[in-house]
Amino acid sequence: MVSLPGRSTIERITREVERNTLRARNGIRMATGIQHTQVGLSPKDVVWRGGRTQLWHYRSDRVTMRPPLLIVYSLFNKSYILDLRPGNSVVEHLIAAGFDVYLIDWGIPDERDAQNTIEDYTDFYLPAVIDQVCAISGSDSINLFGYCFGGLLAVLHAAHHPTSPLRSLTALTTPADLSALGPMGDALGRSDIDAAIGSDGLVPPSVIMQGFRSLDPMAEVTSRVDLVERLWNDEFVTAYQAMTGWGSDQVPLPGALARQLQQMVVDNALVNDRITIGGDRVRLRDIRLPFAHVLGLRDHIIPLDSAAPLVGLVGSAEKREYRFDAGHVGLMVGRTAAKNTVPAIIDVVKQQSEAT
Amino acid sequence: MGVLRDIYNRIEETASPVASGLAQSEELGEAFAVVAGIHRAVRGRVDQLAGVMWRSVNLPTATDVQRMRNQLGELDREVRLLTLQLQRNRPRAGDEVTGDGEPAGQEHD
Repeated sequence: MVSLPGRSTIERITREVERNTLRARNGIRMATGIQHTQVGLSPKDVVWRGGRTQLWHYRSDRVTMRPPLLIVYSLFNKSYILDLRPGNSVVEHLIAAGFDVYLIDWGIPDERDAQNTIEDYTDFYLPAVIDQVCAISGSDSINLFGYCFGGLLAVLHAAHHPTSPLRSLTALTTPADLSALGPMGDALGRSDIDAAIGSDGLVPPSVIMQGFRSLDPMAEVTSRVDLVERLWNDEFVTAYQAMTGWGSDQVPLPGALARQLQQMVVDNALVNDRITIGGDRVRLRDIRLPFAHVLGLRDHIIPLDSAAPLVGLVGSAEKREYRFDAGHVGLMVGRTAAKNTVPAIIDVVKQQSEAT
Repeated sequence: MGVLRDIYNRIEETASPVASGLAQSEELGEAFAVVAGIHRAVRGRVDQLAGVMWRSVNLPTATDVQRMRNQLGELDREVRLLTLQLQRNRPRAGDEVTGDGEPAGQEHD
């Protein structure tokens, strides 16, 4: 006597058949490029330009906090990770919280930027942009917020320019102990940097991407397995395309800057107090602003041991460190970020702001 | 799918530390450096031979062009930094300047 499959088995089979249909549909869409995920969609205006750099002012009709918030992004990849998708955007959350949000986007460097040094960013671009934000907003100060290498630029600017009109300084997963950077730091410290720099004076994006990939070589394979498993889920596919698109959307790095970074790694310049900017000895203990540093406990790009010393190096009387169970990108992107880290970051900046 | 995923997860658990160790090893770094060095040497020799050919007909080589572009790039940077410095000395609300000091229209996304 043949026993018929139970209801739950039939339901499981039906669900798998449906999912396989959706997998096929989404797979074809992705393979043919029909499905293209748009990113960085929060409305904004370009209010200033300098070379490839742009200052973006995000539109908002509900600004309730002042002073304005200026985000300094990293030089190593594209800034739209902070405004990835509607509903998954730090910028959206900041706007919803009532902040007047500006962002420096460094653009895509070309050979005109090959000789850019750290000083170009800390002593020229940042002061010019801060002045612009103050002029446009009518505020006499701003809250400065830097992510990863952008945090380093923000910190070095604040240390070198104690009269810069900054109300507060918040850094997110910013390295301090460069000897604890792990494999990336080791590779940067011992590599023949000139060999990595192309004839155009730039470190190619492919070299930078290989550096990130070497931190977790299996991650790409695992993410594709995740995709195959959940290819039936439209929401997952959209998020996957956005994230992997950003991960492979690297930009070149100015060669002169790469050489400076290598020297900073070799000197472990921040913790050893051997920072020189524009010929001046710069000391992080000269920073007196209210300061906050947000770290990820599972950050494999800027490990905890590298980021943790920063709060101790800064000279501010009012300073805090916040640690979250998140990775480098997970601090800002994803459901956990929206629930935990982003509200915490908003609270930190709100403490340095007042209602309009 | 669940069973296959479990199998992959077990493989990944074993393979990941091995792959990371290999990717971050000094030996692999040195191997890449050797390959890159060979590539540079071959490229340099090809460029040299091409240069002889182009110069024989009084035309610039690719490296000549790249050198000029690099020099122009350095000039562009000097002008850009000077523009930024000058701009700071006379800030105006809502002003936009490009790297070469020319005003630009406001763009909207």
